[in-house]
Amino acid sequence: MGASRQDEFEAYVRRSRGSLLRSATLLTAGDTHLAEDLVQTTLVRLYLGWPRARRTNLDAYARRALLNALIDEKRRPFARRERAVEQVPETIAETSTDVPNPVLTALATLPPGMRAVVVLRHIEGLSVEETAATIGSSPGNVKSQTARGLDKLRAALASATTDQGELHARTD
Amino acid sequence: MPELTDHLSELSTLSATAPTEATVQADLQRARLALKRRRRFRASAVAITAALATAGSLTYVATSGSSGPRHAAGQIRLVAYHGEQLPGFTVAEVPDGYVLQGATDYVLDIAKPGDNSSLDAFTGKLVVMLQSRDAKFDTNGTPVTVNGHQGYLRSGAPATVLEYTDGTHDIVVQDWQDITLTDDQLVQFASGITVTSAAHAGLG
Repeated sequence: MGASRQDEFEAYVRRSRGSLLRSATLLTAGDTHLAEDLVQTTLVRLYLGWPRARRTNLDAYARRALLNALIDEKRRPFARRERAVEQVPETIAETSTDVPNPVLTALATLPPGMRAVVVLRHIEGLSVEETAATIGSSPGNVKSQTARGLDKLRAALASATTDQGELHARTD
Repeated sequence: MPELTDHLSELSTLSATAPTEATVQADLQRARLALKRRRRFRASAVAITAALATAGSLTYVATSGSSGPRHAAGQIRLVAYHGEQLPGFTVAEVPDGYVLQGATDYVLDIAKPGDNSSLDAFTGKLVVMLQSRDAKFDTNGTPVTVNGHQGYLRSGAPATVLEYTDGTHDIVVQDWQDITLTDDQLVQFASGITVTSAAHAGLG
């Protein structure tokens, strides 16, 4: 039985860890260190709840666990109060060297709950009902959060574009 | 100009990198240890409850004189430490929200900010010391590897102890149960410890 749990879990990790990490990266608006922490927490919770989780949709279960981990993280007293880093300076952090994606940067301006709704609906491609089930809310709330989230994103992107234009104008 | 929703859906094409073998194994180990800890905790809770019920004194349940862990095991993070190092031992990481409280010739105490207790009191702290000069390297516990050297983890209330060697010194790290580092995190913390010439082994 134990071996079965381990084997099944290992297969799931090999199959889905990558997409789980990608989801976590989107939900954290590109914070790769936090995303990795959340995935580790999620996988531990998934393993602890494996007998129940394996009887359901594993990906949906993992997504809910990931969101809960994100919410728990944000509720912690020290969360984000100190900008401590996870890597000692002498080591190379596994951070993308790509130019920051403006949409990801704009996503970071949304509150975590609203960001989650936008990510699940418009990036992960979940339906309103699936999103509502994942975040434990009503479809109506999902719709309103999505609309407000998109409005805020448009405003953030427009503001960023204006700032960049002004910067170019000054440097020309 | 493309719609915002088009930009968002483009993010769904971000590649999902397959995990390395080491990452998978680390996930498996973390998960197994968490399950082990949960089972041990539940067994302890049942035993305590049964003992109290048998004694007819089921008025309250307390665990080891503490108010209980603040986090589930593994919910605290290790973060890089950039502050001033103290004589004896340097550390690369500390539990999030903890600071170096102080050090003597024999021990380094890592505690919550504002902890003014004696450096010889280890309740609620993560402490680092050299193994006593009159004690042998204790090989009881779960074998682990710290920076390629042998170590042994002994979990239990009120603290988990990691005893390991760095090739020169026998080092003891004690993690009070309130801090709730996982065994993996404790090994990770230990791997960032450097013993300096100012460290002395105690006696007794």
